Amino acid sequence: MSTESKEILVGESSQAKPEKKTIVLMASDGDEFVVDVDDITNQSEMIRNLISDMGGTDGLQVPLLNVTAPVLAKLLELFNVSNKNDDDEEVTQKVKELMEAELNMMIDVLGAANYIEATSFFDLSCKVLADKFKGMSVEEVREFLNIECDFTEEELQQIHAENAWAFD
Amino acid sequence: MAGGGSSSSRTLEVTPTWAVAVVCLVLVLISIIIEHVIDLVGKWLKKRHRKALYESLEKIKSELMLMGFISLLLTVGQTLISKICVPKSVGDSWHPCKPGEEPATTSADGHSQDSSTNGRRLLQDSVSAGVFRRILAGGGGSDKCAAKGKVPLISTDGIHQLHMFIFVLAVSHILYCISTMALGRLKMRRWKAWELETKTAEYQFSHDPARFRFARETSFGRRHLSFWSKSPILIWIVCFFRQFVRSVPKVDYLTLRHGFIMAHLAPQSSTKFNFQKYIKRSLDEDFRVVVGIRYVILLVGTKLQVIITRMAVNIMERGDVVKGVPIVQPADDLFWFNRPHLLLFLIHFVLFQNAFQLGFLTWSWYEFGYPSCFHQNIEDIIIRISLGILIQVLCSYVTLPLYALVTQMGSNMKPTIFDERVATALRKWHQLAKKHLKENRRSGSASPLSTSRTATPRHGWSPVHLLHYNRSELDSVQNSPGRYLTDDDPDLEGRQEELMEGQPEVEEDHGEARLPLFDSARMADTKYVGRRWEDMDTDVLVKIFKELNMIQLAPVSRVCRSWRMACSDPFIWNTLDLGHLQSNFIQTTAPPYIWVDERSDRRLTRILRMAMALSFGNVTYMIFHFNLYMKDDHLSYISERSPYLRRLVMPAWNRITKVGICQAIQRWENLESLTMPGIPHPPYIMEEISRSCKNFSQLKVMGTFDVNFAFAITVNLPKLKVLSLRCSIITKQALLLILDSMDSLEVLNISHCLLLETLRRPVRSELDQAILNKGSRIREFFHCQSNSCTTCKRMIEDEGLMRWYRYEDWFWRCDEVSSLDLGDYGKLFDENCVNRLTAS
Repeated sequence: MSTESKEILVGESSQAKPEKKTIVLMASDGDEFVVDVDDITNQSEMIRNLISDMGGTDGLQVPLLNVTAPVLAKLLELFNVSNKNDDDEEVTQKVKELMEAELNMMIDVLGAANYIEATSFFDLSCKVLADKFKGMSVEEVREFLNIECDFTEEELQQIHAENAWAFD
Repeated sequence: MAGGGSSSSRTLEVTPTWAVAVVCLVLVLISIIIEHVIDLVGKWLKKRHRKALYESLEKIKSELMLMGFISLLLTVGQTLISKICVPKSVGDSWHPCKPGEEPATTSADGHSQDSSTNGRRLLQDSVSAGVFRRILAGGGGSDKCAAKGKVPLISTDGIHQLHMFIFVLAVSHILYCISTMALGRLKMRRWKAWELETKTAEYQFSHDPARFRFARETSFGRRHLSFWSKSPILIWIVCFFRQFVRSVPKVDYLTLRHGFIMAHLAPQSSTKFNFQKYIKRSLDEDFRVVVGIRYVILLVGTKLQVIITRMAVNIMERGDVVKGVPIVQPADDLFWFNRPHLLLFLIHFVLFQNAFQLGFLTWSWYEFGYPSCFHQNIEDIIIRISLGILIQVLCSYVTLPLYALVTQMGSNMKPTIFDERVATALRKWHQLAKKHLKENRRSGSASPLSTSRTATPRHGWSPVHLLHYNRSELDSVQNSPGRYLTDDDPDLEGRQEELMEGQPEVEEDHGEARLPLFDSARMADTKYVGRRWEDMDTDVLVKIFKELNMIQLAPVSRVCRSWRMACSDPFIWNTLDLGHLQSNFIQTTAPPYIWVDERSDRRLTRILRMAMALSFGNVTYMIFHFNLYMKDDHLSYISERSPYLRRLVMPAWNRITKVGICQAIQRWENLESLTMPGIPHPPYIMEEISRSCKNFSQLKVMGTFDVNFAFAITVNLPKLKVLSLRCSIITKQALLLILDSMDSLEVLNISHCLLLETLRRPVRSELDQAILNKGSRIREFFHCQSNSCTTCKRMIEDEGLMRWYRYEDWFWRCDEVSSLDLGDYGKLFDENCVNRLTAS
């Protein structure tokens, strides 16, 4: 990760109306992201509360210690889509795309969304993932997410016995 | 006392030996008893491993000895001192009482002379009196001084009074010390309860370190972060008053505890470490310093409160989001001159001053009688005494425990963090590690790290571990010495004695925690490199899984361990709503008036087995349909597998026997709320509930509610808080019985009920003013009896026995009492589940 800070302008609206208020989000690796206040408060409950608690946005820098730069960039991109569209369809589509392309990034994107309390986006992404799991068998899920089965032989037998006549 | 007393005319030469012997014997006996008592207390303290307290006892002992020695010196040097003569002008200066006040004091003098023939007189009087007495005694220096036209430095009389003063001072100081400790202990007792609380699952859940909150929104923040915390003057004023009222509330205690543990200890110890015990040990230690002191104390208390608040402000500055419990950062620089110890010296000084004051007062009263020049007016005395007591209480009940607590927040740990035995073990380990390192260096092996690592715990080398404690807790290092810190292993208790004897002293540098183990990690930027789906935050996993129903959850739970854990999370399984599931049945004319086909029973068994296998007993709320007819087997199965059930909605139990339901209720000790059908002979079930479920508070009856039922409730469940009889037939007598005798009832719902005079004579009755008046005494009284209400109309159409199946799905699930309303069905057992299960 590059240590020198780079500025990324997110949201076209902030370019169109330069007088609009912005705040700086800092990723864990020190990269800074300038975002439109309205855009971010629309999504993140945590930042909305933070701003109201701090009584203003002047020169506000929010360090997000748990979020790396690529994840934050992705998250802001998705927020942008969500802000521009009223219905969830577009965002759902984008999340699905992300899931197909970079499945492992979903872990961090979801974690970050949960962290900054982007409730509606978080719920929506969880739903997308849950939908994906629906109707999958155990082996399919393991293969899909590249998860190793870490149960011991004993535990597997126990699970099998438990489920044997409940699920067949 | 030699030289004192009217009997001084008889010397020992002419005193009967038995008299001397008796006096000596009594004196020796008293000293032996005192010696013995102190010895016993010391032994007891040693046995309880209160080394610090034992040392303070030793200090008190040596203090007593010192006082005794001083008084001995005075006795011996009496004649010598009184022989020192000073000019009269010098001897007349600096009297504690001005000569102008003599009239008032001479009367006191006369008064006291009645009770004892000599000695009890004022200092300025003692010049003449002393001369008189000395002549009688046939010796002394005062007459010599008088002969020279001078006065003695201190008269023999004065020395005697000084004697008494030293005695009184010693006694009052000891009393003070004891009361200080006792009051401090009293305070600690409350902390003990809080400490216990941190071990409960509820605390651990609500203080889950993985949760994020705003600093301002935590209760610690709310208490300390308001407008005044930023102003330097206000902060002192507010804190000044705060120390009087609830100086250490629970939030502060818990937060400070957390901060301390986070900074100094391994993270997984947060639940095991007994902070209160540690504070107790260090209070003992502090007490040791205090043994051996008025307005200053207020300042100290204020300062300590200010420190707590400053720490809250520091949290604010550090970042506005708090993960889990706010972490206060212990730092020495919050204290005056960066030295936490200074405060202790202040307390020490103030306590001694206080003891001196009270000792002096007692002495002068005893010596000179009440209106003497030392205390002219009664107000003065009252103020003195009350101030003395007030400060004593403030000092020992508030300031000292507060000190013990807050100074822990200094950047260093105190040696008392460890029991003696733990310290010894640690020291051994430390030496071992050193030796290992040395050997390594000497041999110059290629991999110095690899060997030292074996002797060093992982925490020490990877501060990242501390940062990710919430995830790494699971694989905490079992054989690292870090374990010693947290374990209060009772097995070790016996061995402590020998360990103490072997190495009685704990060296200072161990307590200072220079070992790498305790290097407190500061927040640094972290990266989640290569996170895998197995390691995904349980929070997020649970959120995803909550979207799934029971059937979809089953395969997911078999993917891997962490997923299995997440699948059984209480957040998912809290409420198991089987409201979509109904039995296939036919109504019959003989009891139990219902016949259920076998397939429905098997289906229900399967579903319950599935739910119990997935939920791991985390279900606390179960809802069944009014057309689901369980058997005893089913009920027994769920009561066995979900023992922590708190609410049960089961509006149909035709097929359940008395024994079946009673057995289930016996197992559900936590049951608080029950929704049940109207049954003909209710007393047995109410008896069982009152016997087994201590927290039972809510009851809903769907069906007929007659006076028998009401009676069974009033007798067995007098503490019931919520009762809903919505859409039932109620007799007037039953309603009046409930209204008259259920004193602790807070909520009563009789909406849409069909009120009858009696069951035999089914005449509809109106809610009259008498009933409404009685009902108005209940906090929430819901009632509805109107022709425009759909529900009421349905009730009348169905002649009091609501045919729920004719109406909407949700209709039977409603209740005016919000805590009884069932709301939506939830995801766990949705319609898809029903379809799949009925199809197969």
